[in-house]
Amino acid sequence: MKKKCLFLFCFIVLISCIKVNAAPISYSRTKDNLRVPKDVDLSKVNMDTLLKIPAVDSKAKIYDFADLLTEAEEAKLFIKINEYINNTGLDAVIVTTNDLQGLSLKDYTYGFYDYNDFSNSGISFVIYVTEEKKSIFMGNNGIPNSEVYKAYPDKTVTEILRYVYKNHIDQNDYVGACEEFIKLADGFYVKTFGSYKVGEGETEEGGFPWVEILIVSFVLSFIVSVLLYSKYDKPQRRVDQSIKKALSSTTMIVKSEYDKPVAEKNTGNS
Amino acid sequence: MNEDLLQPILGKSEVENIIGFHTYVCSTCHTAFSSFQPDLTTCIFCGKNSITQGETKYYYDTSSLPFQISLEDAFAIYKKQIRHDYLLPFSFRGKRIMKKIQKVYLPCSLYNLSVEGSIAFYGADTISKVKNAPKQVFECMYSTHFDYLNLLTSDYSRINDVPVSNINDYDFSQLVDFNPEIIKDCCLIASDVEKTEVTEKVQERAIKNCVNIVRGNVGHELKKLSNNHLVVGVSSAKSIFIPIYFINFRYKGQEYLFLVNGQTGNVIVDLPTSKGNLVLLFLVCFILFVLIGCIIACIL
Repeated sequence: MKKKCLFLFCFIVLISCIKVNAAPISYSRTKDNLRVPKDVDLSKVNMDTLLKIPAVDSKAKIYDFADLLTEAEEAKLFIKINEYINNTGLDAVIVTTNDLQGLSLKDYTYGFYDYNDFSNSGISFVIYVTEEKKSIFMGNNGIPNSEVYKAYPDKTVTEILRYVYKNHIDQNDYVGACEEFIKLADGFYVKTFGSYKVGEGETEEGGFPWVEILIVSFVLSFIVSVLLYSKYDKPQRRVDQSIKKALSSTTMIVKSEYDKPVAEKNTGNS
Repeated sequence: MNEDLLQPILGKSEVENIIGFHTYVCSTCHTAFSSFQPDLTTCIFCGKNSITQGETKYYYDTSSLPFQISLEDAFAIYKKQIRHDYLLPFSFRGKRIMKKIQKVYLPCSLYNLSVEGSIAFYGADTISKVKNAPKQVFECMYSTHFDYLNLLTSDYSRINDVPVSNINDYDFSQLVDFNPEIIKDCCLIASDVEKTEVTEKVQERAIKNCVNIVRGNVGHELKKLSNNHLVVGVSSAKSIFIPIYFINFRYKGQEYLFLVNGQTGNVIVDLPTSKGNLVLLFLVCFILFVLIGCIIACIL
């Protein structure tokens, strides 16, 4: 009985230690059921591309087709990506795949964002991993000159990708790559707009240095007040001008007669 | 006017030429002052209606400095001080005390004296930077000689040496023999301090100044006066009248003094301060700095 219990305990521990990967739910598209958002103009869409792009639930945000992430890691990333979405008001998607369905990485990235029901403005990060090569791509989706283009111009996108690839993808650290991507995307957004935009004309805590301004203002006001108080209060504390004025410096003599150490008191027997 | 009464105030030779010179004594603040005006009812110092004809004081061989600042100049100086004093209570600003500015001659003494002798100090230096390290003690002896020329001291206890010293940039080369005509449009405050007391006070001031100067020359970290054998020799002492404008007023139970040098316009102001104004000033500065901070943050 004891052996059975021990075996069961070890089994449970073993199971809990195993990394659990779960493939995201995706739906195949057919010509009869294209599963595209209503705002997509089908007359301008390349049907071949559209049919190759998986249809997904837009709320999931993390689509790990290549099974590079565990469920716990996905959950952690999901929280972070939602924080980014809430702070910036932009949408964000992370995709890992090992099959581009014959499309280029760029077409796959933009197609994935455009043909699923994501917000009009947002960013997408795709990790393409096969045995031969590893590639990453970042797409910024939105109308020209919108917030997403201002925050992530081509130069910024290149910087982000270069940094993420060099520090994480190269070391097969895919979860680190995703975390770094969200962190950098967030950082560049704040750098561009100075703060998180909640709505038009509003700002939210995080960008504006209120605390610093209040502390500095308090200290400066205190100094000014003390200086003014010391200037106007008790002016009669000044030095004796009369005696300074009367002292004749030409005839003044201060001569040192001696400056010698005081002999220590002898406490010995002598 | 009784000639006997006039005689002690002025020089003996001038008595005959002066008519209608009045001396008053305030029973509240005990200030004695003289004026040509026969109908004065209020004290020039405390403003109380408690003055009576008083005993005259004796001033022989006195000198005085002429006024070079007009009463209008004194008004202007007062207004300037009030305008830039942001801590002045609002209730005080409304008071029209400027009209109470008095043009008076203040009795003072001008001393020429020398201080000579030796001073001993104990000096000590720490022998190491270690905390609570022992100190090496030295005995330092200095021989000194100081001359003080035209040391001004007030002979009126209610406007003492402290404020007078602060406005003292008088040019004593302009001293002239006292002429009673000069008090035609002002008053003359009488001395209320004994000459011996003034001399003692001056000697104390001189010795204190000497000790401070020598202390500055002691080349050790800690300095302690061991003993001094300084002797003060007064070579001359002269009674003079210095021209001043002043207002002495009470505000919320406390006395304040506004004093202007009648020769140069040098001023010492002791005006009330308001804690409420200080708080208000702090808040205004705070809001201003916050606004500036916001603008800078937006620009950056």
